Amino acid sequence: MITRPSMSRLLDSIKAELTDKIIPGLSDPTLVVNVQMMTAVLGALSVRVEHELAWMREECDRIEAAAEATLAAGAPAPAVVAALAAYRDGRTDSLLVSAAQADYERASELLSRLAEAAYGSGDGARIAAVEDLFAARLAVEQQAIGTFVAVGR
Amino acid sequence: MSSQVDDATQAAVARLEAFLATRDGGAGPLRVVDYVPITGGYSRAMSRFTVEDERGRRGYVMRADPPPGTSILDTDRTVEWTILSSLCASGSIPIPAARWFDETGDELGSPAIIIDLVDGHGLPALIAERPGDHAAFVARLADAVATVHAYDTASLPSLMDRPTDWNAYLDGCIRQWVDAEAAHAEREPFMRLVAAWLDANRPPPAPLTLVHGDFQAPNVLVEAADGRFLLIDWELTHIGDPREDLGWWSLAATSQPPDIIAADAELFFDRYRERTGLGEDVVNPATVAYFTVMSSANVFFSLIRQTSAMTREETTAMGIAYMTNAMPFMHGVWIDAMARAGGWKQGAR
Repeated sequence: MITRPSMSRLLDSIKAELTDKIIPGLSDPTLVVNVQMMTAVLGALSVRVEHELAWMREECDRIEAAAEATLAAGAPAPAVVAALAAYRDGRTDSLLVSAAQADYERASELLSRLAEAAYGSGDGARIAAVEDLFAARLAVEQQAIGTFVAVGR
Repeated sequence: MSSQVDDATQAAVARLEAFLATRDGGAGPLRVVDYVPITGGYSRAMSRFTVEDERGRRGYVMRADPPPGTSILDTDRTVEWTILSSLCASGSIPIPAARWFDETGDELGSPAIIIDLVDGHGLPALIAERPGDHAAFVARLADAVATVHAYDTASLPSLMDRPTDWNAYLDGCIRQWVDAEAAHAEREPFMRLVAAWLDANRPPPAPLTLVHGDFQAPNVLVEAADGRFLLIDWELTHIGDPREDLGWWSLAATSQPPDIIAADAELFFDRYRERTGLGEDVVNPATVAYFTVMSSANVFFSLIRQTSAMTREETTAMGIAYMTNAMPFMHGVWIDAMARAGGWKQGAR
């Protein structure tokens, strides 16, 4: 199969063409905003196609480790136990994007339950551990989109 | 492409002329001129136009439903019209006059509200052009939003939900985060985090009031004649905690700076507290930050409903695809606001 130019490079090329040649030729402001939205989405896709699989896998591992640490510390968290079991039972480790997304879904549910259990307990250390997980997730998300500016406003 | 735009404009003008002839006519032939779509809003299809007849010229704005599946906000024009009409009739809320409504869309192409065009400027333009007036703007913003929050909710239309008390209202708001996440096309742990955090960090209660729901600089018009501040875009209005408006302002200003309230927070909060009678323990930067998180629900829930629809292949609207970029932005706003509220122990990112 053809891998060069990479998907990121192709998407960046489309984005550049829209920005440099299509937008200047448009007179309808509604269409200009539409195309500006397209370029913003293409910019994020360019980053995601390069990193998404790795990012999902790395975050799944972080969440699983945090859940293990929570349970190893003896915290009573039956919802976390159930979500961790569901994550492990369903995990495929497949490189197919849809399968990786399914793994990530189960890990995300585990993260939600960790957050709920931490705030429910009022335990500062558990809350801090959850904050770390969300801070890491946010850093990855923002790496993909860069700075969000509402176009057309 | 431009001929398609021209055709669409001509059709819209013809529909408006027919609609207005029986409502705003009676003075000779009525013409609609200077019809211009308004960009900048992500929910309604907006346009402005001028009516000409023997009575002279007058400007209007039309807020119409866009084609199904293309808006990031799913709200009801009949509800909006009912509330707008009621607020206009009261004469005590600073808004442009709401004139006519096509409930079914049979006459205007989709359900649409026509309001007066304000002879003035949008606040963002004035903020950019007149930095020396920011303090005066902040004081008038405090007055305008305090007027909304002082409105007698007993006189609001019966179709508006009336929470029984503050705790029950907050319980319902928090529950919505969990329910909305469950209905979303993928798991969204930030929403569950928000629900848990909101529950664990409740601020002191405030009286429930009319809430604008989308209080931000682009929704403030300043009349040229007397500098009066008028609030527009009431589609998210409801009865709730007044600090939701202050929190939402902060969130919106993050994506469309500058935030002139944050730059002169002491002036704003002093003035707002004076106008509303609410104490410093109730209205302060930390409690407002709490409501920056909570007030994002209206828009964020609509956003994820639409992105879920896109996931289910029910829409291909570009505006909805674009708003997927806004979701991480919102996550960042939440974390920053949690830190300002004092409930994110490691501080901001």
